Amino acid sequence: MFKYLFAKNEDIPAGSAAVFFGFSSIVWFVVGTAMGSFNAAKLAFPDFVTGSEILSFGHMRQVHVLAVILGWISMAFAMAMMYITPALGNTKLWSEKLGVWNCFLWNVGLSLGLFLLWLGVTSGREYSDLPWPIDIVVIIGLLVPLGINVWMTIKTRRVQGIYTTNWFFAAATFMVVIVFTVGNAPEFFQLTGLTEAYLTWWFAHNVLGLWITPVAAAIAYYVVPKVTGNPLYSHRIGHLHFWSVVVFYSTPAAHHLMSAPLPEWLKSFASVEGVLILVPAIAFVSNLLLTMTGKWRMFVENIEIKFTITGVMMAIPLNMQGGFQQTRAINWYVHGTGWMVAHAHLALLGFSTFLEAAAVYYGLQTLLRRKLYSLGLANFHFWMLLIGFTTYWVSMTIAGLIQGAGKIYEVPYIDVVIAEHPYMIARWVGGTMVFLGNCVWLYNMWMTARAGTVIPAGRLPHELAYER
Amino acid sequence: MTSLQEYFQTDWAAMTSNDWIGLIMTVVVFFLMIAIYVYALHPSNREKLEAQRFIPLDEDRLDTEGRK
Repeated sequence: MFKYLFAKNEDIPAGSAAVFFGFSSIVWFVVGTAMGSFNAAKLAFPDFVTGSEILSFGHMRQVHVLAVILGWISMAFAMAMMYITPALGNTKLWSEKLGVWNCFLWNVGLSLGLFLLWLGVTSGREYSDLPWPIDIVVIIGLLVPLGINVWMTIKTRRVQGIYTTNWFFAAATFMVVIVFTVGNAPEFFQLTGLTEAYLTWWFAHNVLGLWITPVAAAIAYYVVPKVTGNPLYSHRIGHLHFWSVVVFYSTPAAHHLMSAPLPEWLKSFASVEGVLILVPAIAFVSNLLLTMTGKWRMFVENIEIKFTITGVMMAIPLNMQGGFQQTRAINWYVHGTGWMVAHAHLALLGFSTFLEAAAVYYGLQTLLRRKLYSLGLANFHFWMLLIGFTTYWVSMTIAGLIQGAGKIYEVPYIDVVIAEHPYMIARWVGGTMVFLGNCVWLYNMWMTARAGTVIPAGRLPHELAYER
Repeated sequence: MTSLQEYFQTDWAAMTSNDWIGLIMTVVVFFLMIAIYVYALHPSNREKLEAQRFIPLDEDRLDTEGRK
């Protein structure tokens, strides 16, 4: 990477920035899930690693969350944007050099931010834990350059029309800048009280709703048609999905604070919009599953489709939960319990991670022009992720229901802690499986770059996956 | 006053400027959403909008063999 930082743009091979982002994302995924496994061990075994402040749960939780969101997920997004956006425009990335610098600054900025969090320098606001100088680095050094590259690549495209995926990429790179700028306003302007609480959860909600969800969906809109050879079932439904996400996802946030003294109309409005999220969700899932018509065997045979369709199908429980758990009738029971932790992991480790993994698998093979080093290891990775995540999700959902019952029936807290102990162990086992699977993935992709069979001209990696 | 009228009863005089801004934006966005749905689903726009669904399949644009 370093040799390209000061090279001329035309001397940097096409796809370099995407490859750097791809490998960086996998490394951050390993780091993030290692911390997740460590944190889960502390919850399952309270005597595990005590006495060290920087290794306490409060410090490590923030590092885990931000390493996964800004490291794994967002860098995988950047990787996907840097090879899919030019591909859909029949052109090259607008500036490969900007992309390489973007990747370099992303790694440096994120490392610095996480190091500060580790030391305890934090805003203390969940999801937007980074201190405000680092927020500015994230906005100016990471997100804006990415947006410029995506927008300019779309502007200089050589095809008529803009495919759904690029609609989402362009909008999401714009919206995430707004989300980071407005969502961190409490730190920039020292806002406190209810305003701070509302903006904190507006940020937390929209990092999911206007960044992670739309970009993950955009990846599915590209990978499924590209790998199956089927055209997208309906581009018009893609339009409906896009605009419904922009409108219905941007307005909730108060539904995270249903018990707070916010105006009642605001909570009701957010709750209704929260249910309406089912509109884009149904449009997305049905569109992708109908695109698979006649190619369902690939769900078993093809690693990219396996990841993509699993991610798409996870959108069903994700949005059913998300749509209804925030209504007053259900929220009073599950609010503040492990149910929410399970739901957040369904969104980040389930739905979006499977789609990002598909983008990284497909992108790295295509850009490096090499077949996967080992399909067996890729399948091992898939099952470690799926079984590990499912174990985590089910155990935390049950633990959440136990906590909810304990809260409502005023069961002594220590009794609730004892009752949920087995589920905390299951959570640790599931999270550790994900971490180990990711270590295997990193090895497999490293070996793919070093020793993968070269893909002949005119062929695509998925066409050759079983020609061994 | 019926229960339904009571449910929808609004104290308009108590609305602040922020309330009015929020109300107007919500109503405008509501009608824009209807307009977009009508546009996207209208049969006369079908051919134009669906033409783009083939873009990912047009050709292998990811072939980077020609790169330096």
